[in-house]
Amino acid sequence: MSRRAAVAVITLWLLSLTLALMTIIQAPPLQSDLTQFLPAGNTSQQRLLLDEVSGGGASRLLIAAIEGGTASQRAAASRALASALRTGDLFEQVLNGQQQVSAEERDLLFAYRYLLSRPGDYSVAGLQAALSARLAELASPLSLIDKSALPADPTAVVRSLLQRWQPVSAPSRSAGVWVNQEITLALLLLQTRAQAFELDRQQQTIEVIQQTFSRLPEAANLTLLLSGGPLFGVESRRTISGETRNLTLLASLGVVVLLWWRFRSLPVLLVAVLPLASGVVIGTAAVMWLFGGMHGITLAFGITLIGIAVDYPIHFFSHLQQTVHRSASLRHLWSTLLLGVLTTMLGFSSLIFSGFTGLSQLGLFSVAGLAASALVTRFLLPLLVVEIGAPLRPVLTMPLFLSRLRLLPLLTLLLSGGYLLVVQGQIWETELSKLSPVAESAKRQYETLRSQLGVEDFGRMLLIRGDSEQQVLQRSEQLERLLHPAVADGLLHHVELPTHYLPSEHEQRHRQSLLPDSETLRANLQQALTTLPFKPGLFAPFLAQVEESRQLPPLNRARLADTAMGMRLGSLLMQRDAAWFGIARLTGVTDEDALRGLAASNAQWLSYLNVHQESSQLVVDYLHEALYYFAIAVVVIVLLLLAVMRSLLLVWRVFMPVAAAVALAAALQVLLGERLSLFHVAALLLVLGIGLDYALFVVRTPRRSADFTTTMHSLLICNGSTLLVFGLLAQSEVPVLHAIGLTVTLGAFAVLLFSFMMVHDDPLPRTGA
Amino acid sequence: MRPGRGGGYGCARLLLLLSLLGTAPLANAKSDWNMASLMRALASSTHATVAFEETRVLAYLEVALTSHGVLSMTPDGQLIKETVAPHQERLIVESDKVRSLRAGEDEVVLQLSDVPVLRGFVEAFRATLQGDLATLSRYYQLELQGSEEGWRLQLRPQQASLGAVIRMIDVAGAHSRVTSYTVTEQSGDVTTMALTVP
Repeated sequence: MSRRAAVAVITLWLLSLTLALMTIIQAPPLQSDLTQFLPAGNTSQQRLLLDEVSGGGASRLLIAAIEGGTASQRAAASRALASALRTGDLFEQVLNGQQQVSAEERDLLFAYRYLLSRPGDYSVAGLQAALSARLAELASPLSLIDKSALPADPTAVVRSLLQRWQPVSAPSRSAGVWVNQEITLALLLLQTRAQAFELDRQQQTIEVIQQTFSRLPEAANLTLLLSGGPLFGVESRRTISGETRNLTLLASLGVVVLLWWRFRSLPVLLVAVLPLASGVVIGTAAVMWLFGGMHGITLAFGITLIGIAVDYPIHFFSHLQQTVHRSASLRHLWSTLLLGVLTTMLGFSSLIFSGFTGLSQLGLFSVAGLAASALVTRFLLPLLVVEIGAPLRPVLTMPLFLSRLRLLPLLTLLLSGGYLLVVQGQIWETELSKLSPVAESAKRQYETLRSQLGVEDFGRMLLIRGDSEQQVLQRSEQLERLLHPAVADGLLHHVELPTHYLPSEHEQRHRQSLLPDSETLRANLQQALTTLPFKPGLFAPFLAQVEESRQLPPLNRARLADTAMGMRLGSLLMQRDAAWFGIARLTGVTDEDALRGLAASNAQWLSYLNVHQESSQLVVDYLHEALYYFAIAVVVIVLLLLAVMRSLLLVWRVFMPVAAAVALAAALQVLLGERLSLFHVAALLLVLGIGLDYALFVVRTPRRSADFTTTMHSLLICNGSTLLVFGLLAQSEVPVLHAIGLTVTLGAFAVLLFSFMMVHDDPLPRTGA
Repeated sequence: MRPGRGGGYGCARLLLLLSLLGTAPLANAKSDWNMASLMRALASSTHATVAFEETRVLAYLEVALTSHGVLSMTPDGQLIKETVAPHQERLIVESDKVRSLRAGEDEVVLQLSDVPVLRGFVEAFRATLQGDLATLSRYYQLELQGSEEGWRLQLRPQQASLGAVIRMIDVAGAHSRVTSYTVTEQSGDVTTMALTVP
């Protein structure tokens, strides 16, 4: 290369690195929660569903359990903790079993009682029945509690409103606070204001809870257990970033040791880092530039890039060590490497098109990173290292007997593929939660506490769509009428609707119109009272307030803001993009088909969602999409190989070991009891990429060629580094990293063996590459 | 939160101490009969079941409401008030809960800790029948008058929330037996419950 060209290469390299680094510096910090890694959702309904799965009410729930001491100490601590946490603005709800309808809320409820509740019966007979019931109640000592409301509310409307809002299945209580069944724990339910994905705020919230608790005098000999989505999120982040850092460090060290052992040269070590580092920087910049940010897991995947990209300098140094035919050998290396890089990039590009944000980022990162690493190896490294010490004696004897097993890959492919086809129904992991790095025991503890608290599994709902808030509310009322027979028939136990907290304006006006005018009401009341011993004039407040209610402007969302009712409403009524959605939360569903049928007959505005099922379906859809692109990529790769190699036999020899190893790695995982997730698909792509390199080198280097020994040794080193990196990754507790690590370790080892089986003596046809 | 609670405990202990020393300031009459001995007597009372006649004079009503039934205390500390007429009602007080069963209606369950007024109110009955001075003095200021043969224990609420509803509860009795409760509410409503051994 001329001096001018060399200067141009270095300038270009430095310039792109600078640009990339600038992009990275200006980008927002790494995203670290799993939800951002999940698919974005294509329709507003899907987005709402994903919000429900990852950001809905359940994902912001923390359960606090107070343990130790005596029951009354725990109850006192529960009350003190709850009242301390209620003063801040970190929580939407702090529930511990104490009643807590505030005075303002009670006033609001009282003022709007006739607009919030179903129309009452204000006829003579209706009033007489209500008043007789009140009279009977006055004989009970319990009347002490709400006797004072009688003159204004003789039909006890407020009481029935409050009853309707009671939790469906309240947890057991002791000393006035929620407890578990064994009464060994006091339980609190905290709903954070911070969203599930706002991990920094979640972490801060959790710290505040722990500090507040430890400062309570009541908590001296008690311990606080926390459980729930926000905690899991924060801990996942800690695990993921910790594991990523440690494993990257270990893997890098391992690779350095391997390189030193093989080449014994400090310049080689230093220079070997360049393709890798450039790949990571360029890959990161590309993702940040196109996606406006990057997920931590995507960067963690950078470690996996080491597995492939470190192969390029290893090949280069190995060929440089050759003393005879060095330039021909290097030319041969470059053409093989080019084909390997291109096919690998093709494989990864299939990820870019998946709708799964995290995987798209992985795809782009790998494609850009691999391209950068290859370019740096090809153009920069030869400028920096021109001479290298003589090769060590061959470390291992090439296991040439392998070439006698040439049909084994085909057999493996058939067996593994056949096995996968037979069990295909059960091999896919469709549960999003399985991707989370939270320990099973922690999840089980949460489930136990949750069921004891009677927190509903937010799983089943009817989704109401509309163009406006009022339309959704009116449809919610329509739905209530539709569901009435279903509740009566026991198809479901309870339904919670937005209009329980805020009826539509239309309905509120309708209820107002049904209220009798003051003359009629006065006359009816008078007649109803003739046989009852109430003092005359006692119900004047009732007459006045019914008249006031007739004139009230309808209740709206703004008026409910900052009340418990308003918060409840906020989780049931929401706007997404231009559309409005209402959620009817269902409990005790016994007949899903009936509900599906109900939704189907009102399909233009109503749909039935089983969140768990739907999210699994969503994952399956993305999985199918990913497999589809994977298949396309494979076809394109084969076509590219055919175009370049112009020999079916050679393409067969390249492709067979790779296909066999991919199938074997997948089948082994299934046999080991793993379920394949989208991350396994990504890992299989890595196997494909690594394998294509191996197979291409083997097939393009006949046994008689001068390069043979060099190439095979460099492949062994490459494989060693890959096994090292991914074997470490397989040790990770993070399911995603573990899945990739184990799959690639198995696959890479298999593909090397299978590739060696393809060693041959046939002369190569002249190719264009 | 109950701000007065700590004070209540202290007060109870003090009262208990004073009465044990036989110097309860408000106990009069014979020197060997005082609050402590009354409570001991009530605690050892064997009348587990008594009949009651209740009369309610309410501000809302032109007539008084009367009812009758049976009041009983089970060995495990449940207080049961069973009204026979004119409306059947079974009211069960157990540790922290009140359950009310009325003919033709769903059971109503209330947690006493949710309704502080009810909690204090219930203790006026339960704690006197059990001779539980500590609990009584947590909720009420006590004043004992009369003699062992005919005594009168006045309960005045300690806590603002209870005091807002209840003005005074008058418990009358002889020896180890309560013969009547009279509850005067701030609204002027007065409920009298006379107890007789059936």
